[in-house]
Amino acid sequence: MKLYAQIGHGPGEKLSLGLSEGLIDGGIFSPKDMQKATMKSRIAEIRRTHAEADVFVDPQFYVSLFADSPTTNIGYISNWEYFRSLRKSDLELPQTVEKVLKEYFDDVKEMDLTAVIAPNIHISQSFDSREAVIAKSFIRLAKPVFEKSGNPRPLYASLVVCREALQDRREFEEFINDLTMLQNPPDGVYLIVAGRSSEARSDYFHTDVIANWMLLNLSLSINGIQVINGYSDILTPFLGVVGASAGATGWWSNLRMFSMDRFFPSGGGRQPITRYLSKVLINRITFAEKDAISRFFEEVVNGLPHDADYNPEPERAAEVLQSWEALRSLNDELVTGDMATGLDNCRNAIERARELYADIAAQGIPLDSKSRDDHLTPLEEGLGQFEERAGLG
Amino acid sequence: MENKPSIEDILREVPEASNFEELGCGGYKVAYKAQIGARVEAVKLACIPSDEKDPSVREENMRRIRREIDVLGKCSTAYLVKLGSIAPRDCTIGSNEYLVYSEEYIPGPPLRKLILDDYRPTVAELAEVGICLLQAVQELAAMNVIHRDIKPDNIIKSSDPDRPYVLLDLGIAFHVGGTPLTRDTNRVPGTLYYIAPEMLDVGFRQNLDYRADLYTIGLSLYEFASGDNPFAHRSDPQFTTLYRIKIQTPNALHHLRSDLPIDFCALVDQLMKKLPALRPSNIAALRKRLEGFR
Repeated sequence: MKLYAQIGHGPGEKLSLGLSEGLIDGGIFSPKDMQKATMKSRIAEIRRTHAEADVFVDPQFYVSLFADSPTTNIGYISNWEYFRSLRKSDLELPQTVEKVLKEYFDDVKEMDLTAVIAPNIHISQSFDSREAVIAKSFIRLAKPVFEKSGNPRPLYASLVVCREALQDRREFEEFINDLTMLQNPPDGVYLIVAGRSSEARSDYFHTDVIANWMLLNLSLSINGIQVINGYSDILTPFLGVVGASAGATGWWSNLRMFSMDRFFPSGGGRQPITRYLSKVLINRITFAEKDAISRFFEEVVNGLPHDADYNPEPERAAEVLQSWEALRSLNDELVTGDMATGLDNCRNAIERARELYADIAAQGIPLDSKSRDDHLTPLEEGLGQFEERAGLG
Repeated sequence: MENKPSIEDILREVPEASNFEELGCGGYKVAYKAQIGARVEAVKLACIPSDEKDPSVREENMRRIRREIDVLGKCSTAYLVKLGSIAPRDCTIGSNEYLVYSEEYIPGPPLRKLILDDYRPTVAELAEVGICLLQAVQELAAMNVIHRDIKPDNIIKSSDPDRPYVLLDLGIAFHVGGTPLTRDTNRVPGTLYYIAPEMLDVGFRQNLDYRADLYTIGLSLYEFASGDNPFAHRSDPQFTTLYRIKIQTPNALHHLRSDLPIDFCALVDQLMKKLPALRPSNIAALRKRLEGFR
């Protein structure tokens, strides 16, 4: 499976380094964080230096419903001609949806993208809502409108859904039943699961969320629809095992887990502590924790080239390269062609993580709240619930 | 079927047919093999239930039977049974009203007979069954019709190489987006062991689509391949069977027929998934995959 950079503010040299070192397969640009002209020249540069890289743009139309709010920070999205603030009542009309799609496809026509990701809104409450009806309308109309644009590239529809919607099993199942029966489906889906805050780990590491996120990937892939998971970060290999074609993560916490908070001014505060993604823990730990644990348990260190950056504490820019490297390696280890084997690999990885966490606890090494093993139970239970619901028992 | 008329009574109403031989009898319909001119056809006699207090009952049942005949008349695929030479007409025998018409007679055993004879088909035969049924379902789906009663009893292995397997009986076919076919919208029509799991959901008509037929194709292939319907335990009470259909994952087909290719078994298992979204829905792609096993 492929791994993409979730590109945000301040990409610097990270992208080109990640591509040159083969840590990532491409990137997903964010209109909010980059002038459109800059984005075009960045894309052209990638095409020159890494012709094989996959390049996408997330239209971020999901901010449209509240773009008028004075507290919203839409950054450079306003550079895009297609973008405007719209109300739900406007978008309930299929002709408005068609217009948004058409204008966006015109906007990206000249960009040298691997595939075009169509705009959509954010389903912020439930799959049984006006927003879900509008979102389905965007997905249903995306391909027919795109075909008229004459663009030969593949088309991905966006599906941006809050984690609460994923917790209602019945509504969720009805939604995916509809989604997998489109008459003219897109070639793929760019899927984002939104939490209440990108710092709220428990929003993502939640049994129902993980199970349904996996189920969504499986149902789409079974029906021949490619799935790129935006902001999937550490969950990437778990989604790859059940059919995802790609996952993505970036350098700031709001590029690792998605929340609409990303479009509101940040509260400021100090720079986050540099962290190290330990494959065996399936989690990031602080530099100091890595140092302390590795004195007793060497296996906490991945044994990969970017480990060298952490001796001494690395520059911030190096953190994402280490993350990509570790995730790439986890993908290679866990994701196999066979789903049953892949799921076994995931279960074994969770078990290994549990054992090491137990050893760390027994040694009395304190861990900060984000470094602890809180993610393992939801991962394990999510995996179990997924298997049950997918009839893999 | 209650009020099944005698052959003599039928002969009076259908004088163009002779040599009646009963093929099967359902809840409201009886089928006979009969000679009509130089051809052998299947003559069907459908009882039209009515209610003296509510004339709409008769009208509704009449519409349902006529719809079945209408759909058959519109189908061009060779893998669905075709209408015969007797056009539908009303008749009254005793105090009961019937609709009589004929379909072509397909010589050959139903898959049920082969299963009972412990016949174990090869992967090529199974793929052939799947391809024929998918073609039939594809044509029905294009007309927004769901068969809803695909099962080994309704699949005939024919001796005609151009149509090796033919699907019968559109008696409970469902028209997506159409009016309800039965008055009791809570009643689940179909044969108990072959009901798709989504048909057990409250308000299932709202969401029913042709993937219910893909499920029963998968189940029929599974049963034909293994001789076992995983939900049919005759000693079980009905609710246990319904629970199995809704919840229980059948044994992987590969465990019962280890001689079949794993990929083929996985495809059959996938068609039998409880959640329609987990069944591959692209019929053309499914046919292509099955072509690879022929």
